[in-house]
Amino acid sequence: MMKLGSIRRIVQISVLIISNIGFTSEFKTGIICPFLYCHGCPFAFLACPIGVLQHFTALRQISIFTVGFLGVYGVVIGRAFCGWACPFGALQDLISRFKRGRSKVARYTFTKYIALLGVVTSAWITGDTLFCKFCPSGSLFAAIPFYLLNPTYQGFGSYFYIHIITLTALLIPIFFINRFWCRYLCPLAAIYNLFNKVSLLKIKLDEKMCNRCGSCLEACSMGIKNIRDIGNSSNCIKCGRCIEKCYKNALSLKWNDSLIRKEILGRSI
Amino acid sequence: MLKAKYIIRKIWILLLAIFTIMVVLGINEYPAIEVLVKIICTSCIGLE
Repeated sequence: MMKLGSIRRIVQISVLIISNIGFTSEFKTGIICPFLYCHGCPFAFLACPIGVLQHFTALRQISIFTVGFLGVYGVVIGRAFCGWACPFGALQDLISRFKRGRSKVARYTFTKYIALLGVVTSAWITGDTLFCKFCPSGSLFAAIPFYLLNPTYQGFGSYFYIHIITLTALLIPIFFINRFWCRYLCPLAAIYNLFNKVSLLKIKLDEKMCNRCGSCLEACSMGIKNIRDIGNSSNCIKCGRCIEKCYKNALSLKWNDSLIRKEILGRSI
Repeated sequence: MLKAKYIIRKIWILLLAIFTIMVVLGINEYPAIEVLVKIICTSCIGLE
């Protein structure tokens, strides 16, 4: 049977490929992307949720469509998008493979709420999509691909170099702290964090089988410190690394089917 | 206590309904967002 980590890598690569099917104008849509992926990418076919939120905020409007999509995504699988789909998260996973030991820093994760507040207020004040100008995901998936596709283009301005600087500056802490961007800075993670406790996809701990060895905490890419918080923490990205490490099989990734059956089908299991 | 648990159990379906309604109500924003994706924001990625 295929390992959960291998399945996750296949999903991450597939998502990256699917995110880039907008190579012609006909394939580009206005559907909101569930993860941070710049629609400035020459091949993007979905709209970046943070980019659209900023765009509407700059126009002194609220995008009900975007908020609705993010809410649906959040309630259904929550931060599992970060662990299973986000290409920038996949890059951080890739970098963490070259690193040994666990990143113990897990405090101050509230900083991503400050980032979200900053993103919205800066768009409101400046009337521009300011965060997009130095978003590292935009650097990696839009600015650099544009440069690679048009190497002879002469019009690269100061924001292009700011993009490169922010991406480089962010890669340094990622080498020391797993998922640094997801833990502390991602404004979209701040939104999904709000839904994580009610989302239908959960990591469940069987307390009877757990022997409190702590191997799940050692494997956790988000630096969760308490066994009871595995699956319950708003920071849990449901990547399943803890499930893979648990030799007692006390952890499992499950749909909260008891709730679904009770509330939708009207019967208990 | 039981009532609180009951509310928590129900909240996801309430939230899902609210957000689905928001998507439907905001469908008129779709063409504007589609244009955002189709016309690459060159200034955002640092092109002059």
